Amino acid sequence: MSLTNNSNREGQAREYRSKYLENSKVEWLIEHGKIRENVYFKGETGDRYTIYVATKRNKNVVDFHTIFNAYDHGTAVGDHIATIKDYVLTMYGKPNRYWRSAVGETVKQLMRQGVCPKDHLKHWKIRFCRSAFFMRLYDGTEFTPWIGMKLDLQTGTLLNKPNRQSVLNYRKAKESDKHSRKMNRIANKNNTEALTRYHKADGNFALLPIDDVFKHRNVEYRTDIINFHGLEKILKTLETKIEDEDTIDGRFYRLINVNIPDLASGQERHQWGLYLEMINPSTGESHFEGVANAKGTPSVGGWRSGGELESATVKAALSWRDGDGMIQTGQTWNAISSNANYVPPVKMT
Amino acid sequence: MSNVETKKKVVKYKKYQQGDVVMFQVDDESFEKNIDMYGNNSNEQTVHYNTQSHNNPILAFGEATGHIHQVRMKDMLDKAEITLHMPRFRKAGTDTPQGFEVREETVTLTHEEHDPIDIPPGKYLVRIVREFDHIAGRSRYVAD
Repeated sequence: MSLTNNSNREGQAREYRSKYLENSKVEWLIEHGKIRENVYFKGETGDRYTIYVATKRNKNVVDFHTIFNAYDHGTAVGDHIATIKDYVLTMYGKPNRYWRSAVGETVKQLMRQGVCPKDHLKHWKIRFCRSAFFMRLYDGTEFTPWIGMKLDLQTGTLLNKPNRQSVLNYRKAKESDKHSRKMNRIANKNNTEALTRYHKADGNFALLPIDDVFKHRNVEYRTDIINFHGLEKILKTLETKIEDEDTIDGRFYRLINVNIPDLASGQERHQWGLYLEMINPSTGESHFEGVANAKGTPSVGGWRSGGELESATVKAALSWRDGDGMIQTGQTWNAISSNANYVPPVKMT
Repeated sequence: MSNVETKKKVVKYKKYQQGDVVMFQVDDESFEKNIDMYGNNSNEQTVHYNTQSHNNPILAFGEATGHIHQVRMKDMLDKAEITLHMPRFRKAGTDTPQGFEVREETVTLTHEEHDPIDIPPGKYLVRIVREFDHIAGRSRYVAD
């Protein structure tokens, strides 16, 4: 923080001992600053291009504005974000701002610079949780900051009631947080119990229940169980539906959609996954292999790698499996796999 | 030959498959382009085999089963030759080549669990088939 006026004024501000605010220079500006005199500070690490400027408007009012100072865009005027009048902080801003520069973030930046009560017993806390900022005062009041919020910098209390949108945002984020914590707790419990059983079995996988394959987070442990029981046996315990059947050059294929419980997530949810049933032309044995899901299939597990099928057909699945799209287009694993780009082998054993 | 239209160009190839190993017979241009896909030619190494070679060209090696997709060179016709194009830092005999060339005579690819397959002279790109692990949410090469 620095002053733009002469060094004498700067020296006074530096030596000033604040009574109410943690930031003594802002309090000095309120108490002794001349009109249009200002102090400024930068945003936190990660937001070094935003500059927060406090300017004395008149005898008892100080305004806070932002200025954006990016290397590649030059300097641009930002918004009027807050005003201090008679030690009451009022938040301003635009309601449609992206959360990162919305009112919660500007409160956080002001608090970071000490625009909050000096008394450590009256300190405020703010954090971003799931989808909204949670601000907590020393008296236990918790809310999501909103435009128009008034905070008393001397007593550390909230002076007005949260508006309807703020209450909704707070409740939504709180509910989401509660749900996520519950999910994590169940997933941890499932994983820990499955791990305990796995180590206790000491390689004798017959002792493990089949659904442990869905509880382990570690893929290697899952693979051990799948290898022991066989995928076919595991799939028989699940809901399945046949998406497509085809015979190509006398070989029979079946594309099956399997409803797999996603137990590791801790939620009572399922995800559909495509498996291709085929017969080894040399041995006549039937086996299953997972293939990518068709375009538009909802994914509960978030990001999934490995491309997708144009449609849930045997030919598209075989095209994906063999990598026809990769050879034809030179693309990597995300190349398109469709009926059209499948090329049957001239010979297959 | 199969013709497949793409926006960029027509790619022609024939496909041969033995279990999890797929061999795409392509023209010289596609072969050079795909072999060179991960870098310049200096990154790639070639290993030559003929009927006098002590070792056999191996296209894939099953780590768990120990089964091998290979051409037994001593059983081939005298003029038969194969050149494997190995990716950088990959070793012929244990790793899968990016591609291979068969010259002069048709060769036979063998495997313990699959019937033998005849491969005529030409240039081939090699791919291992992939599978999707729905539980882990990722795709991977089929391993045996």
